[in-house]
Amino acid sequence: MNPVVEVKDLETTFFLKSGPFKAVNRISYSINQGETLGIVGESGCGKSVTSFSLMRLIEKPGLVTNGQFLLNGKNILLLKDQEIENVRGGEMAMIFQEPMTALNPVLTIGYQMDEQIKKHMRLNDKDSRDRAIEMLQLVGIPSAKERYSAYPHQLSGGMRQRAMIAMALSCNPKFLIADEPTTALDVTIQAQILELFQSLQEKMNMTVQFITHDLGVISEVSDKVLVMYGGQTCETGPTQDIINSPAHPYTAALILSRPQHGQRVERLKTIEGSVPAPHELPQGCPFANRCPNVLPQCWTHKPPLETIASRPDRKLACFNPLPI
Amino acid sequence: MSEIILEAKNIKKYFPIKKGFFMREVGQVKAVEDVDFIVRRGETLGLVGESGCGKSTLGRTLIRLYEPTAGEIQFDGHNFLKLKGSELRKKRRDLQMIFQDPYSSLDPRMTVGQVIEQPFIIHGLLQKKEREVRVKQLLEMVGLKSSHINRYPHEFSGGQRQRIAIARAIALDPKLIICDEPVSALDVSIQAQILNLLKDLQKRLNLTYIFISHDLSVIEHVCDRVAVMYLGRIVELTTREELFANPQHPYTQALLSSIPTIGTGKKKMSKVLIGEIPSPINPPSGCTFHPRCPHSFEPCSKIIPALEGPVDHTKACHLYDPKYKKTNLTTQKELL
Repeated sequence: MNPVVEVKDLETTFFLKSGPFKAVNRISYSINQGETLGIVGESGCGKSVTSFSLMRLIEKPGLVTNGQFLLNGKNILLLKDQEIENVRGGEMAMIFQEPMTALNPVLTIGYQMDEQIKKHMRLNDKDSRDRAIEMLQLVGIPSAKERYSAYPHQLSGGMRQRAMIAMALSCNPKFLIADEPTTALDVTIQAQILELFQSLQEKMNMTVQFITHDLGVISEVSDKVLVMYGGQTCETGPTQDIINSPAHPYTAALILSRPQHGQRVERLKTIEGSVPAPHELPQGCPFANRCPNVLPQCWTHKPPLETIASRPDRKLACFNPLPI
Repeated sequence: MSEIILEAKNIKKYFPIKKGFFMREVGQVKAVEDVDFIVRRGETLGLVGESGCGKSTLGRTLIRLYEPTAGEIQFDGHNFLKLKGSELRKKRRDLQMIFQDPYSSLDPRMTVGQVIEQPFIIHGLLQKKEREVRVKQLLEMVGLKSSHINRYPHEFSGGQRQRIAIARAIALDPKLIICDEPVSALDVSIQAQILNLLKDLQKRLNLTYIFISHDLSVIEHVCDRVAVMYLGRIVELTTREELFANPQHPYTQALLSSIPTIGTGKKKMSKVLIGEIPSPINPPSGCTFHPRCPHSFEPCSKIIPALEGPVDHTKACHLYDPKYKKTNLTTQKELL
């Protein structure tokens, strides 16, 4: 089976006054039809920049400086601005973290949905309105007809996020990027949205890239996971396998530093220090300055991302991994 | 059982809604409604609930950042709400607060040294030289370097800023600290550092915490007793072990089952709560949770349940009221 999404050596550089900074540094992955890839990492690790790069939403001083993004074999990064507008919102769509800032506050929900539906599905006014209302119903918004003419501020946080999902899904995208879609929501609403998300994904057989900092959420929604740190891949593979036996010290630390329900410990394991600033990234492995297993070569050489011999479905970038 | 340091009785906090040219009062937001609890010396009491449940308002009311609409607060042997002027000031030393957002709770124009010495200046304690020594000592206590004293907040990361806020809070040797979502703005790996620091300081300085959070995993990690809040009321109050092993209020059960857990595998969400938190301006009649409750029956929409039950596990739910025993009281297993 050919993967729907293939990202190869993606590199996004921000040309700052202090010098160029690679927010995404040669990331590669692929996602199969109907699969969910979770990208997990702390703030500043480049997970959002990765998604923005794929959607071609990177603006100056940032630039995608290398790599390919094949969506069903078509390289999206080479499309002209006009061509990308036909793909964005149609074949691929994105759900953002903060629905209040992602939606236009002076236009009704319906207007914003219509705009997109008319463009991509070439429907007339009435049909596109019907389609929008149908989508709002599908994501569980009560009295969808009235909500269609509501403004974003008239909806609650959970409802706005549902409206965002409805909008993103309205043109039957093949590939959906969800960038922290539940981070701003309460737990009970988060559970509602995640459930909705999974059932819709199944129904529409969508391919999804799910970005979050929450390992708990990742573990519940994704098939594969990619752990990012300092713009690079630490390790990637099947979610349950990685969470049950992480090989990269960063993944392990991330799992242990989270208070776990039902397993109370006196002290949490911590990762010393914090994510280094862009210009302070070590020469070699970006995690070297916080890593408990650091070796001399970690400071000077970047560990290559290689397949683990005993686990052919997993890849790891570490000179001194944990035994798995 | 150790002594009671703080006792809150029937605390209410309403905010008026004003409208029109004359700013007439047209209604009230009932942010906190009839809250009763005690805090014992040396323990950590958790307040947990979703946004808008009144947990932060309650925290702020306890240190009189907001004046409560009604109620009584006994703090360390004093009727805290009756205190005025210099007496209030003196007592407030014993009661400090750590806020959620370390980016807005520190004055960007003050150096770290100035931020932390403020409490001493305000309360007229220590001479300049002594203050500096004390500030350096405090910085080291919270895991920063004493050489950081002349830096500005923007030079620090979120976790370090939260350490500065903690240093300021413990400066005057308080007895009770209210921690209002102290780690929710931080990354996971930094959260763990701050939680460990708070625990260490508690042991070292014999502190009592009221810990406000929406994150049940964090609550489970730090708290001895937990109060679950919904729409301004406490719906269940018990020890940590009881709460997580044997949650009784349907809302607590729903909350617990919505925590995403690591390593359970891609799963179907089962017990998902329907609907959203109603508006506190016009809360539902009777039990405020009844429109979302899967087990609601006749009395729920009419009578407000009281917080009742054995001393160490109280809940406000008609399901456990012996008066209604005949109705379909499902067992724990079925509920979860």
